[in-house]
Amino acid sequence: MDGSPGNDIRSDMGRLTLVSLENEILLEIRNLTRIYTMGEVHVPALKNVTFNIRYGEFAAIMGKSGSGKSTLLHQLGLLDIPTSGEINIGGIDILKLSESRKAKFRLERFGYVFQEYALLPELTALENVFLPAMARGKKKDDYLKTGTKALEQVGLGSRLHHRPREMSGGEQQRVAIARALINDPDILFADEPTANLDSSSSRQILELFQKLNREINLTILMVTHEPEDRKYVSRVIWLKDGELAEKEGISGSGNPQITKD
Amino acid sequence: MVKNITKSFDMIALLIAVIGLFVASVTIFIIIYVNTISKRRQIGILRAIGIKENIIIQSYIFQAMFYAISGTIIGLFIMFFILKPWFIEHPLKFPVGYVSLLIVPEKVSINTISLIAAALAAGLIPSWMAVRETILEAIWGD
Repeated sequence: MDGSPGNDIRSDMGRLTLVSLENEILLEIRNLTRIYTMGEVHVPALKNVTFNIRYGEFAAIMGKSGSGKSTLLHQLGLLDIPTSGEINIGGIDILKLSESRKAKFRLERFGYVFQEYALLPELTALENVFLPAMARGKKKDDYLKTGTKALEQVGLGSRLHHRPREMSGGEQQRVAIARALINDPDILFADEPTANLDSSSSRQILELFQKLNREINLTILMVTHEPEDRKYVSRVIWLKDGELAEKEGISGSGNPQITKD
Repeated sequence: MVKNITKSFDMIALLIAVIGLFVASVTIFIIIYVNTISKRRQIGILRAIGIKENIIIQSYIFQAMFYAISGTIIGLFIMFFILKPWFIEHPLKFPVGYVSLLIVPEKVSINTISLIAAALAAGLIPSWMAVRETILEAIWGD
């Protein structure tokens, strides 16, 4: 994990490029629409959503229940297929990639944190964390080392060989965050990561996100419905009935400001 | 008469081999199918974090192979070290004489290869069906 914000070497589907990342657009979302079809009924969950995510942003997607927050995150994270629209990363419309290239993209460039932790119960914390690195073909020594480092980074250096059932909800979620970090992702998607946690664990998780965002310049896009989570993020993307509502940015210090891309 | 009896035994052996193969492959199929259903969410999680579908399918094929190879080893052990010595010691008494167990290596090889092939299909089909599901359906059962 590179700790130098601003410049980085990124592999663009095989091509290594040295790029200045500060203020660069990471994700370009254009006219994203998702319509669910239930028999004869068509339910539009997202309607022509257009916005950008810049490198190093910690953005929250907020809105009422049913506003399309999680649906939007699933489209951006390549977990679902939108009805229409574009998602560009480095000029590539990632929606046009084949399924195997999408899987490679998810493995190498995206990190995920789900509401229900989504850990494999048979595996220890360390095994859960190094699994994506192992799948990427890294050497055993490398993935053991980076897995241990990622767990230490989230404050679980002493829980390497514990299974998920032996850990609290907050600890399991931190294991999930370590797993998301192992392949040094461009962006971390978090879908209501604190929804199942008590307020103390929730605060720890959000402070951890804030720390990762500030220290390693990790771009984070998080769905949340908790208004108080706004104080941790640098930007809020509001959704209403599947459409982008007025955009309100909240600085890290908690001062609200209206922003435009 | 001996020829007719031998032919009858060959037919019985073939019938038992076909039924055994069918039962073994259906059993392996059911085990892998139940496993993929009970681990549906885990399969979804693995796919979500970028694990390729063929790696997931391979893991279930390995599992099916493990059952087939373990079953074959146990079966060969019973046949060579328990049944064959027992039949040599206690041959069946028939009107034409004593009948013992004859193990033909070619037939054993064919049956083993058939079981491996059947297990391959029994592992492949349910795991392929499992990874066809969308990631969101697999994780959240939408």
